[in-house]
Amino acid sequence: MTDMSASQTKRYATAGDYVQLLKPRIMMLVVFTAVSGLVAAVGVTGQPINPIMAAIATLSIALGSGAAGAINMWYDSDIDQIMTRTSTRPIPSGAVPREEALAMGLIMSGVSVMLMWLASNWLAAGLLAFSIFYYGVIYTMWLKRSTPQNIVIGGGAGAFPPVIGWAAVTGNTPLDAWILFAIIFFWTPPHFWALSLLAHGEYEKAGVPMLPVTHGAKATRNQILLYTILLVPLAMTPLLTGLGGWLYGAVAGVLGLVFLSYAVRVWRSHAGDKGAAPADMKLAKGMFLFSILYLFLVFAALIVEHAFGLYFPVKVF
Amino acid sequence: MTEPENKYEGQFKEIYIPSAEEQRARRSRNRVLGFALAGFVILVGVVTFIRLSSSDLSKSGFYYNFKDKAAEEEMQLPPGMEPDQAAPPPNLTPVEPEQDEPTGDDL
Repeated sequence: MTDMSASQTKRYATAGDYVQLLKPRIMMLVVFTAVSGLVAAVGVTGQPINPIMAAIATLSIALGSGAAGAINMWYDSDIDQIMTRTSTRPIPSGAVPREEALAMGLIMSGVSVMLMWLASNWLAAGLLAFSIFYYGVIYTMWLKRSTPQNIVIGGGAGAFPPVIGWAAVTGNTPLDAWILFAIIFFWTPPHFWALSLLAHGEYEKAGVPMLPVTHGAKATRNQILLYTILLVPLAMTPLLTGLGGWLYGAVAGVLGLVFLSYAVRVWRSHAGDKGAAPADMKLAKGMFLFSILYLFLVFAALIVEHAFGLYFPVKVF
Repeated sequence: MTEPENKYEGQFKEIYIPSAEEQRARRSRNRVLGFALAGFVILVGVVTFIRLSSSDLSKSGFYYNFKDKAAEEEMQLPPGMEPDQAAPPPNLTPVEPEQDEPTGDDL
């Protein structure tokens, strides 16, 4: 009887399950920021890149992101099945065996780094390899379960794509590339903590020391405000170096103020507290969603400026 | 005629026959894997082609320029000498006619 019900509920992995292992939504953001780094590098330095090579370098970054996602799902399958939000992922749902996810992640890591090396240079390939290691090992295996600063330090993994894109074009990583890195690095904490205010019960159940679990919702709201205050002026630094022009400045300035207003309102709210009003939780969710839009539009402004000839530098000094 | 002895008889009690659903899933996976492998091969081929066609090796003319250079360096035959005649020795270089040093009288 039990066997019968087990066979009835057994899921067979389809190609779609393997695609889910690659965390396609994160991959899209990674690819987008990588392309912005690539386009900005061409625009700022004037160094050309073969369009096919650029496409293959972008594909390599996408594959690398997917590989890191598969390794993350392999390692986190035990906590994924505890949390409702992640319990339907391919491994906890029983569709894909853990070993297959690991094998897929490792093979894709190798393929992506090799393709990047072939399509661009060793620096970009090395940075891609390091970012996969950073996400798959440093963040997933070490930081995530050991410190409430997990997503702050781990945010570095998600911040690498524009640097890799830049390196793929020029073969080096100047200050401008690291400014793009810093923008994503300082964007990650308010983005993730806004989500964790909503789902801290799940993290607590799974034993993941997210900030709201270890230090409470109030400390998290303080940290969200602090990182947003750092992020908004930082996002304006491309104007000083000549990386961004008027269009970028306008987009980053206006969206930065909106982001800051969200952070202040969340800080003043009781989002994440026990018995918090639905409006407060809605505010935290709104901030989480807006943070995605913020990063997308800020990097889109860079792409539009450099790819469509709309770059008009701001004379600061 | 005697039937051949089945030496595995009794050892395999269960034969696994995948269900239609599982077979469908396998086929779908295998197809995607096949496309992925083919895509990888094509990508490596394209990258290799582009790199070779735009590499310094090609630009400086590893093979073709080598041939061109050889043609350029082909020695000019002295007047009246036919190509089917013996080539001059490779170390034979045309001698520039000596010019007299300018003297004070020329000034």
